[in-house]
Amino acid sequence: MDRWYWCDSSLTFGEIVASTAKSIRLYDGDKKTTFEDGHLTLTNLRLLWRHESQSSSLGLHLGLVALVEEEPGGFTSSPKLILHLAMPSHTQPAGPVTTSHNSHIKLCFKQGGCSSFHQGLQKALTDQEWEKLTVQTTPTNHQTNKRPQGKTIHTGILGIERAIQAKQQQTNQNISRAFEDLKNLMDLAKDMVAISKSISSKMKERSGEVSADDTTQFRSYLLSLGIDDPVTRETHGSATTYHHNLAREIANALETPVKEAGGVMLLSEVYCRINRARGLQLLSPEDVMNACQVMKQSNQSIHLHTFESGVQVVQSVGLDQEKVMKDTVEALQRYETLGMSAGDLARECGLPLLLAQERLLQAETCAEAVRDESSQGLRFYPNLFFTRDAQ
Amino acid sequence: MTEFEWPWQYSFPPFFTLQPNVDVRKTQLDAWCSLVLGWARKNNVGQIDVTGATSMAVFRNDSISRALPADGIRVVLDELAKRGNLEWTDKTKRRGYLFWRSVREWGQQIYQWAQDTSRINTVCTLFEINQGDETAGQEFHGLDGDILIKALKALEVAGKAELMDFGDNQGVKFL
Repeated sequence: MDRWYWCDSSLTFGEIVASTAKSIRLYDGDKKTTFEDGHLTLTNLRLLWRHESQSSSLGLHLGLVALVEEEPGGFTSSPKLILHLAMPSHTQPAGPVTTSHNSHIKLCFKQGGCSSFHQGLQKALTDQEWEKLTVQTTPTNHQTNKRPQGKTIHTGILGIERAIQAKQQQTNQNISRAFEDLKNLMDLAKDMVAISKSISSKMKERSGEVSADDTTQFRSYLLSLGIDDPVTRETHGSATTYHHNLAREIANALETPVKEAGGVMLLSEVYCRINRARGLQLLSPEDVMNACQVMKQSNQSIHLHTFESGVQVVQSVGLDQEKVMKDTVEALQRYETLGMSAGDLARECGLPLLLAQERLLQAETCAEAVRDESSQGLRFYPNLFFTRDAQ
Repeated sequence: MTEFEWPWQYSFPPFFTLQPNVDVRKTQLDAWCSLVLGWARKNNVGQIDVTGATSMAVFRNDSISRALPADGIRVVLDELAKRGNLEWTDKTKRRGYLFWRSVREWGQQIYQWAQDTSRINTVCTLFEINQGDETAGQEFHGLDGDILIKALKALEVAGKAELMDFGDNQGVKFL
């Protein structure tokens, strides 16, 4: 608490206000002080605390702040900022407290604004404008031969040398900061150039089977630079040769497995199987889906079918829907007494659960099955309303 | 009094779930309507309260632990109202009078009897109709007085009868 000193509320030369906060209470270490409900101003050089009733403020030089921590608030306490401070200099003007055990103070934000103030404070601390200002003003000081702050020497030849060195450093920093953005751009461009070279070479080798990973990376770079995607890919309907070729490949590879699975296979299973078959150069789910969507156009032996509920499956072209329905009804009749759930049908017919569910729903739409919703779940019965004579 | 004979649907769990398939639902509602009316007739239930309906024996079967949910009950009651078997007491549709035979049907039956016994263009008292000897074999014999009046009013609207007041008695002229 002894780092604070009384001063008037005006700003010194080169001082700019960064942010303000209201309703701040000062803590000496962990103890509350009587300095509460004040207005806190952060400038690029100092922290100023002032109560409305007073004209003079308490000032704290930012150069003394070694570390800032944030203490989030709880039910009973408000968020606080903990400032760990260095030893004050001898030339500091008088403050409210001459000595204090604690090397840290706390600022209590009763009305919030703690995090934004913290950010502003961090910025001010990294900028360290007071260093630059002292560097600029020291050359005039050395004539009066005043004892300087801290241990660094600002007077004499050493002082002048130090000043020149500091100025050089500053200029370097400025230049490098200005060109930082360009450096990032150059890095990105280097990657992009390498990728575009690889893609063009691959394209020359063989048409169609370009790895999707490279192109997606390329696209993501383009997007991050804000360039519109020049290679318009499919959405619905139109597709590149890539997808047509892919559709052919999938159809050839999976025609038999789909037939063995009863003529219907979930899209997720198709994705797994085709990637397993390929081994290397895996396909993205999006590519598999797009390829399946163009299957019908290119007259493959299997094509994509979307159910009402949104589930997508790949079906053999010659699939007999009637037979599927009959199988479902037969299975239902075996479960006449207790009803059949999707899980039961899946177990009975060796189908994936999602597919079993779809079959039951389809049977319901065709009035072959009726549903029974209860706390025990959804079960289906054969449609006795139609088949049995009502009394 | 024999126990009410529950129809086979009453033990069929899907009966208690409102079917989404339109055709199936129609058949389901037909079954529900005849069940509710048959049960009401047997147990002499003349009124239905929507809030208490979920606990009514006709809408639940604890032996298969199924009960028609509230929205299902409402659909059934609306269907009954559409067929003329339920008459709401107020606009909020919380209570209704249940007629196992709709008022219209009663009116038609009475008019048929009037035609068969050549009472057209004559006047009858209401007593004669529901309690007289001549109607002993008819279904509407012993019909509740209020319902009889409603039935005759329905005939009046159809232009087949005219209600009259003779002081103590009430009468009707068939046209």
